[in-house]
Amino acid sequence: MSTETCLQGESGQWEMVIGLEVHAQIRSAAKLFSGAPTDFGESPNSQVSYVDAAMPGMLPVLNRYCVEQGVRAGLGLRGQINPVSVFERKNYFYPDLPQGYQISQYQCPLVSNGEITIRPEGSPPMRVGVERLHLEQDAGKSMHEGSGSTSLVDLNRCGIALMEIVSHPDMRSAAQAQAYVRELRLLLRYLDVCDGNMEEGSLRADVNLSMRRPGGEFGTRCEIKNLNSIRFIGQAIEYEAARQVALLEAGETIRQETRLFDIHAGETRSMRSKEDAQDYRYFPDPDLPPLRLSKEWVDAIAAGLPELPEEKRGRLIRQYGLEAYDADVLVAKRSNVDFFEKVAEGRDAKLVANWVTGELFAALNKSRTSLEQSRITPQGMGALLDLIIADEISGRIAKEIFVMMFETGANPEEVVEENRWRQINDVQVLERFVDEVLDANPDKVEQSRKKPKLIGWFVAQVMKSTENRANPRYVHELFKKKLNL
Amino acid sequence: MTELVGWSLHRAREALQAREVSAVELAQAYIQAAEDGAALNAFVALTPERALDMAAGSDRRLANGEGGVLEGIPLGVKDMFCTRDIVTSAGSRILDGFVPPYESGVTENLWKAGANLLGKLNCDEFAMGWSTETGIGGPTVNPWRGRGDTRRLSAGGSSGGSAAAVAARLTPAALGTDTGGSVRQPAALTGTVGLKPSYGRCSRFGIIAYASSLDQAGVFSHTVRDAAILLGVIAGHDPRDSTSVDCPVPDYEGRLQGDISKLRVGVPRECVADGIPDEIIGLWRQAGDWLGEQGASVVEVSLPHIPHALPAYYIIALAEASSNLARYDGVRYGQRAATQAGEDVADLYGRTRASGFGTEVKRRILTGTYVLSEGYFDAYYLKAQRVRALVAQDFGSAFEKVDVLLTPTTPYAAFALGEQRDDVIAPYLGDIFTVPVNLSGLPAISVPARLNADGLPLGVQLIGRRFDEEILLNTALAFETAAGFDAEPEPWWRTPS
Amino acid sequence: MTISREKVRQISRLARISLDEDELDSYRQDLSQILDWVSQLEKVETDSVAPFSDMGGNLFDCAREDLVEPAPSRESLLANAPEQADGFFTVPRILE
Repeated sequence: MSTETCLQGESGQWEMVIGLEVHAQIRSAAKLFSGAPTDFGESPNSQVSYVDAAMPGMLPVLNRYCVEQGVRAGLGLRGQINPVSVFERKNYFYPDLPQGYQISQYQCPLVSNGEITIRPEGSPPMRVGVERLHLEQDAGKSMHEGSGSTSLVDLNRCGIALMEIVSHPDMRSAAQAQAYVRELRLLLRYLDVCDGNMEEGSLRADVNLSMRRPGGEFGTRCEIKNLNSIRFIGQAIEYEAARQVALLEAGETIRQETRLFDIHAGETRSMRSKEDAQDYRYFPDPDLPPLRLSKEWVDAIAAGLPELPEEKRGRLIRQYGLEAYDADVLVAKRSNVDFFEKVAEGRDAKLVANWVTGELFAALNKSRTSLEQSRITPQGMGALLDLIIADEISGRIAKEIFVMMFETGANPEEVVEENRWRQINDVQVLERFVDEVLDANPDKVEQSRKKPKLIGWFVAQVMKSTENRANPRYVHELFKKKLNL
Repeated sequence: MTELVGWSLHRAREALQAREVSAVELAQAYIQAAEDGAALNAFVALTPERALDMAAGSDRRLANGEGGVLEGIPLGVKDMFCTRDIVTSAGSRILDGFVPPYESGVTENLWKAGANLLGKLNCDEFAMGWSTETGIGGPTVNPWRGRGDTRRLSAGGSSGGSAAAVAARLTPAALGTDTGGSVRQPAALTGTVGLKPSYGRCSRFGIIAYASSLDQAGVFSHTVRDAAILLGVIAGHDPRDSTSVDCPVPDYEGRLQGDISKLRVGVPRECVADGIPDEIIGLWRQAGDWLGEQGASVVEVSLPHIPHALPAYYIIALAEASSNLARYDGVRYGQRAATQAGEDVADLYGRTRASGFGTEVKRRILTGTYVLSEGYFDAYYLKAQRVRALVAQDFGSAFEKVDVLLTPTTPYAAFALGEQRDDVIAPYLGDIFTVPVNLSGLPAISVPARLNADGLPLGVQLIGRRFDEEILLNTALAFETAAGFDAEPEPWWRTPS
Repeated sequence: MTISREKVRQISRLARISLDEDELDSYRQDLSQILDWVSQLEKVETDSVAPFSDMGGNLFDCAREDLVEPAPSRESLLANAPEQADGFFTVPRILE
């Protein structure tokens, strides 16, 4: 038991036990049980079919592509795709739930027993078990008008397909929980099953948290609902753990309940519940026969899976000899790795990785753009690096050219030609420049015998007189030889 | 005009195709008959303009030698079917004034085949009842009266409006829905033919749901042939209903020949049970004899779990209903109760549903909620589904030995309106012969057999293998021929004008 | 068997059907009778019987493709609504 994840209380150590339920919106054109569109941010009640609005006599018809997306996610989580799964009704009343029930999966989910390897910051990778993944409908939205006595109901989101992904209570710190969500989101994005956009609500997490003595029996847990950023997940966990420890240290018991995280106050609060405990009265939806998947269909999906982040990381390290850190940074976005691999083909991969994770990512960060939006192409980047590799330009010039490429989409070859920036590698030519400096500065030559560091000054003179075009390495060598250093 | 409405659907179709009568004339005759039959309270709404408009279209097509299977036939439709732009309330205050912007799958098929909509027919609220008394439309009156008795009788339920309208010839035929006998029981009580197809044979799209795993559209008609014609039109796969089955629809009418000499008819010994009156048992035995005379071999079979079908049925139906009716909350459509200052949305729901649903519906929702609630689910819902499996197995074994089963349709003839109103359990028991069929998804038909000692019609039920409506209809035709039932109710409801 | 008033109250809340005290009593009687009657199922031996689950068929086969159908206009969606404002359905304030 690593003590670094434990909290020190007055009575001894406490350990967090964390499980997550992630709701991920499935990327699909139409909803889970209707043909209504799933577009975000449209005007209220403009994306609602009669099925979504639960008009009398309307019946759900399953969107097969949503199942395919769920299976893809399940395979990515190395889960077991259940040959038979069943949609059930979860019955409760709320204005954003027109049917009076949510169609979800309960006893027989689409996927069971998956897992994912997460990499918490500053600690080794670890495996987190995924208990299940099931499909369900999203609810609509209700809004409360200021202090008015009326609430408004918009059903646009109603019926959009969600995957609920339930982890085992395998996590022991906020950092691990955050790493889990980060890795899960990355996986779902690689699989193109969810856009992972937490601000738009495409990915939300419920955190189940309890405290125990290290390695001891599980305690009573609280559920913190609907966290929509990785930062809030961390804050909510830290706050809630401290709250529970304080109660336990004071000899009180934890009440099992649902809590909300107040992002402004940075604290969790019990959800007021004036009703009796929820009783969802699950039963199989009689409008929907069991979903039976053939092995062939599932196998075909498996055969079409892309390389997943975990595999890709390993391969980048093996194939290109990258450091784990660089591999991590590159894998964090699929389009970035693809870019890297295109540039690295036939080139020095470490140099490529340095440039991509260094200059390129810094420029993207600074300008708040993505690689897709930027003017940098793998061809352009490759051409620039080729100039460096061939010693045609110096690193310094290369950085200048890169800025021009980034800002104007310039072609590096053309920039070099136009600015006559090609590096002077001809030793005879360089020797003339070197001799000029030596002849003009006998006093410095004299001083250099005692202060060998002055060689830098000599090189700088040549760089100046060649407008940075001299190959600095060659110039350095020449001075070294001529000054007998 | 009254002569026209005496025709069967089949005869009316011949007359239309031969241009003996125009579709508009036929529609007018039925509109008149329906208006004259107001005392029966069979229709909740007549749609004469729609009927005449559609009939005019039929006449144009018929004049060109075109037209569908039902071209020019006026039909009444139970108010459980959503009809575009026409108020559909399912007999409930909570849906009062609801105008669907869509058409049910089954009625869509009717209009495509050329039929025209005469009006919406009365039913029990959300099809929950046996007597067509619980809906906002008020009680439907059976055209039949006991000999020397002027008491108003029930036409049965929940499709009592459909049954009464057909029996009194206010419509040549009608649509109903059948969840536990709601087509067959009223058919038996009104001397009409009532067919419930196999579960999945017809679309449930646009039918207001009561219990989704049991609901199925059905038809009322005067003859077995008419039922076959209608089934051919309404049957078929609908991609909008995931429980409708994509299997070929035979030409029921074309294959109707009434030869049952190679068929085996099973008579379940469990039909003889406590509480089943002698007149019913006697009729049932007679029916077996008639089928024997028509060439079928009649053998006794056993359905040992039938006595348990009723409670299992009610648990399942009410559980599903409690969930299906959750959507009626006064937010998106229907009636909304007033709330007072300071009340929230939960109060709105509670008040809307308390005032919008009638007593029987509330009783069923509460019971259904109870059997699904935590701690009771296994003992009630799951237990009922296990018993349902046993009932279905019983039918499976029986159909290894026979092609069709014969039972009474109801243990009673028409009863007086108001008679069943106060008892909670007793009315359930009347569904003893019909509910096992719904539990197992089988097709069944009630065919009129004869009048009882009081001069009231009785029917028998024939049950077929799932999706074998063809053999079922042939057996029914043979039975119809043997029984030769041709009694008509005295038209006491016609106000002399 | 008789179920308690409290149970009926709880069920009526779950079902969102407001009942006054008299109605609570009356439904309590009705429900007790119905539950009594259905309890006869306890006698049926079902230990080795799997619950009936469906009428056959496979949801996969009747599933739809991921094609968008135009949603009905907001006007027709709201046409039957008892109350609406600015394109929204409206309800009395929702308390969390």
